[in-house]
Amino acid sequence: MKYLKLLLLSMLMFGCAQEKKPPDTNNLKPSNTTAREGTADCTYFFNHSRLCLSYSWVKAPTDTELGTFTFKTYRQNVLDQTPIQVDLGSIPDVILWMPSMGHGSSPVTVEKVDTGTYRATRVFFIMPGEWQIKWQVKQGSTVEDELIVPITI
Amino acid sequence: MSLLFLLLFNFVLAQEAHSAACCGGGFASPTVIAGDQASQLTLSYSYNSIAIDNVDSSGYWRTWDTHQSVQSYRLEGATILSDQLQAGIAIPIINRSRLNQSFSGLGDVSATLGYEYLPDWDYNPIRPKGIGFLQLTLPTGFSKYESEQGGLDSRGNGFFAIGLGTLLTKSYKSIDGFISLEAHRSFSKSVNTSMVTGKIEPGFGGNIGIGSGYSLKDWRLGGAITWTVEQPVNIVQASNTIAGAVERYATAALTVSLMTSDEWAETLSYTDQTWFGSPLNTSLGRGVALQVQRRWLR
Repeated sequence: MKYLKLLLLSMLMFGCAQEKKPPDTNNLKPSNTTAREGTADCTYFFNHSRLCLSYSWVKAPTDTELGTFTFKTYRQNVLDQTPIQVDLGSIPDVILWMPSMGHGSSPVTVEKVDTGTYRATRVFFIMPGEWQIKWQVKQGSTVEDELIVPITI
Repeated sequence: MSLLFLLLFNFVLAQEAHSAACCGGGFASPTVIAGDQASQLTLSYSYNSIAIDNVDSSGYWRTWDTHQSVQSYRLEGATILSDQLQAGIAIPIINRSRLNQSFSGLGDVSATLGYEYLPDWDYNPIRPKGIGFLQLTLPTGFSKYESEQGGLDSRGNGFFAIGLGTLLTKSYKSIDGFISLEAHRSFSKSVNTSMVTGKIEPGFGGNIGIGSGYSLKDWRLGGAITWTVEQPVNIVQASNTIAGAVERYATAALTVSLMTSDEWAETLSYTDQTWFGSPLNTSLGRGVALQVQRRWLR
């Protein structure tokens, strides 16, 4: 077993690098967005408020161009759980974060469009890979509520 | 003598490529006099372009058509303090660009204290020459963890770090070789950006390098591989902890050196991080470097 481990280690170190092609999981394709106009897909929930969120790409970013998406936030009706659009406590920060590399991307601009409806512009992923889109409701620098959605670019 | 001198070049160039292609990671290379000179001053320029934008935690390679490129200027000086003791300093200037964005500035400045614990005064046919070194890295380079530009404006690891390592060299007729080992510990720092507020907690990291060369008159052809690994860097915030991931990659270097006189030498090198190893959580680059060195004999 010890020799097997040594052999594996030496193969890892001295072997030629081999490109491993990723599966086709680009989440920027329109079919992979979580919301369509007029529907509420409550797949994602904020940690504390339990408000749900859906988002939809208006313009998907590319490796050279900024993108835009809209997102809507809902509470669930206590009677029949149907979604009702509501505002978050404040306009949330949208952060693009790449956990495996330990860095984010350039800042995203967020504006409120209507009750429970927001637009995120200047969306840009600096490289392909596994990213997170984080929605953070902040009080000063303290994060009061957060929702994280993984996304593969 | 010239063999040993050129061997130093091989070592320096291989070490210089330690940093990950993307976002300023990696650890500054030690500035060590491996030859018989009393002092040396080295100026190098390198241009690196990212070939693979991202290798993820599953080992998948992803690339786009547009990439970051990194240019760096590095001034290094080293001198002996006694027969076996030496000291050196390295000052890098880094420029990182992508499309129409470009950021420049001082990288991580490092200082090295070396001790020749295995001298080769008697030119022993078997025993190698051994130099141990202690390296201090100052966080003068902006780190990717502080970046609001996806690491494009980062110029180093950005941590205070202490490293310990050794360089073993041996030459036989026209052939030379070296092995280098280095381990370092980076220390935590606070960060406050629009994305993270808390403490960045890095860990240990290390490099293993091997290389060899063949000399013909004033010319030398060399090759080296350096494997680099960095422990995960976690970001501890008041509300949560963002867990990092281990980073590893291997850098291959091919060098051509010319010793134009006893005092001057030039080296051209090509580095490639896509050839060897099993990379994880990194970007892989290719680059060329030109190095000019002035040395003063003992």
